[in-house]
Amino acid sequence: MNKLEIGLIGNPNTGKTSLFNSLTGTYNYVGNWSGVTVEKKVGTLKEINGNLIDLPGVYSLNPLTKDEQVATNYFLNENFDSVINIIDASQLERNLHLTLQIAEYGKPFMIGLNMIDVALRSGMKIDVEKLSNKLQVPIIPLVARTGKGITDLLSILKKNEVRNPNTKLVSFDDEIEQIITDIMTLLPENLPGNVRWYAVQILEENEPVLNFVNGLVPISTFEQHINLSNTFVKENSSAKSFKQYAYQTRRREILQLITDCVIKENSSNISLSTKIDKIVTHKFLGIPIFLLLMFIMFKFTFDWIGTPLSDTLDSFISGPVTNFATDLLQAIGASDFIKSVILNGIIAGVGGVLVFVPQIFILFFFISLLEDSGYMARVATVMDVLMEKVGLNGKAFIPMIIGLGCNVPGIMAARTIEQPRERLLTILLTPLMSCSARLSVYSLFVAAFFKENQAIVVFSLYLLGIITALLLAVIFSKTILKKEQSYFIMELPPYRKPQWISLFRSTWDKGKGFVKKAGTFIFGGSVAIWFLSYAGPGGLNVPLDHSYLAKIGGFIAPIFEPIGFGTWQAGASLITGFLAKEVVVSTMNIIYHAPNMASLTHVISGTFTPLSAYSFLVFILLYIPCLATVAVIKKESGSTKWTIFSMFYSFIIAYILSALIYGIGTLLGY
Amino acid sequence: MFVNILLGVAIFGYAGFALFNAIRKSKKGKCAACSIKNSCSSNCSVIPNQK
Repeated sequence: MNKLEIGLIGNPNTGKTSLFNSLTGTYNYVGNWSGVTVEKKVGTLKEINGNLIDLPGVYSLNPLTKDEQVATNYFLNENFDSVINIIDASQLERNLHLTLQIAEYGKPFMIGLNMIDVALRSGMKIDVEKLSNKLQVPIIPLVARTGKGITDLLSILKKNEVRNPNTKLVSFDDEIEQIITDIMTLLPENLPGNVRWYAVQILEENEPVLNFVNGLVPISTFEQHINLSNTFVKENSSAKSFKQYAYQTRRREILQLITDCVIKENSSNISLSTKIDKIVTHKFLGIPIFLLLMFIMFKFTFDWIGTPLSDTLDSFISGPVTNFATDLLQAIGASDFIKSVILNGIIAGVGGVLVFVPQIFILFFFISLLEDSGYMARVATVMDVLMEKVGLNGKAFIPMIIGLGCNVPGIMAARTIEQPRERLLTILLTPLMSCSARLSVYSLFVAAFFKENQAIVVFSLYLLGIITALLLAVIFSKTILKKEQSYFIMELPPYRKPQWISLFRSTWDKGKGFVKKAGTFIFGGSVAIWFLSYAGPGGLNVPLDHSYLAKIGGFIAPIFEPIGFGTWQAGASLITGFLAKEVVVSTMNIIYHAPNMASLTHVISGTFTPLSAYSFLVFILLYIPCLATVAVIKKESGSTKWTIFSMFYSFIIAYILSALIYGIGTLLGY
Repeated sequence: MFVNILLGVAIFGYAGFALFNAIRKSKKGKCAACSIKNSCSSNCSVIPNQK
């Protein structure tokens, strides 16, 4: 039997990724907000020989944004067997627009009616059988989060009971139907899917469809039909374009379906969601509440749980692990060279970064908690007003929040923004968000200089990143990137009790990259840095100050003299930090030959003052996006010019801010 | 002596491989690992009209 290929499609935030995970037994990132999936994901179906493809959430097959095109292109270019359309039962009216378009496309599909529990609670009783008969496709009620209904869905797939839908659910006025028939005769017969669907999409001026058809029939053939339909629509309906007319016609059909198949019961209880929303999305209280929660998050990460855990791990690595390695190397008769690369290079460099794993995981745990509960979507709406004022799209906040984990997926998430200029602006500003790699540098320095105020210092850095991004947004959108008209509608998902398993998975998903990087990139980097510190123009095993690393670091060090850290050590760490920010910590560990964190903090406090340390941290926060981020900026912006700009402007801003902090601090006598 | 050479080759070999691999991957960006990148026309390249 051939391998089945099944697509998973639905509106944003309807639980596609949850269902994907249950059906494939894999794990993918699930967030309680729109736009989590911006690219296709493929998983192998459980118990069935087939692939399941998770598509980004879309409202329609006529795409507005880049990520929405993924779904339409999937319909046009991939050879799939059937589609599972997942629908939010509590938002039936909006979700059915996509369903009708999928039905018009005509390939076999089935519906997963998700969040049936939420619909019931809000007083909507759906006659599943009746709806299924009308659409002529199987419908399975689901609660994807808990896994209810998944077995039924799998059994439909297994028995291959997915059926061809009723493609004639929506009919237009006779004149339009005539135009559609005319177009159909001009189209080739072997198109994937129903020819009528193509005709309607051509009239709707669906870009991916036009591009696709243009490869077969010149698009100019249909110009007359498009004009004719638009003229008819303008003269005979309230719609301004055929696209709007098609929307209205589908909507009428949907309302009819709902009248026939849904019984609405009056629900008297105002939901808890609404009550909480009144407080957390309050005009004035919203932002302070968000900041307070962020602060508490850092308190946990540093003062309350994270630091003690990191300290324990540190004493384990610097104690038993190092002793064991030393004894073992001694026993096998390793040379000094090998001893040095393992103890001073690998254990110092990789171990020095691994020490911060507990803190990073705790921070991610809290970010996942805020996301999964539905709170982050509220924050995005609260921030919307502020974002609009500074010339950004309200949606830009989501890439930025994702950027707190790692800037790379943050920048990818900017695809959900429709306006190219706003997207570019978001891409340029997301690297200012303090990612987890930078957290390890902060951890090292706050432990050395701000023992009593760790949380508040790190909090101030995160805040500084956000504020700088907002201020730059104002400047950029008034100068180099003039703003276009934009709209932002963020759907508020219901609050939900976070589930432990999904929470731990989500935390692991965010943090695993950090651990993996320690074993690969940081390992390689540590060995390379160690070698540069071991070798010099004078040969091997030279004093550190005469090593290549000292030469390279010393070359750029004078630049940083005015901002408080003109040492070759700082210079060398900053250069290596471009590859990945964690490497700054590895470099420092290797340079200072510190056996453990306590002694490293001691050595560092000899070369930095608290003021220059803070200036250094601000510089680390902003000075340059790391290599992977630069690559993604290049890919997503498609422009070398803007990529170079993103590196230069951040360096200049970092320098100015560090200079200001160091200058003012010095004047104040710190 | 033999142990030293073996360890040295293993450490520097892996370090070089890890560095090279990581830099190559990060230059490529995320789509490099996508299983249907060949048939995916929208994602890995910039869509011309939205440049």
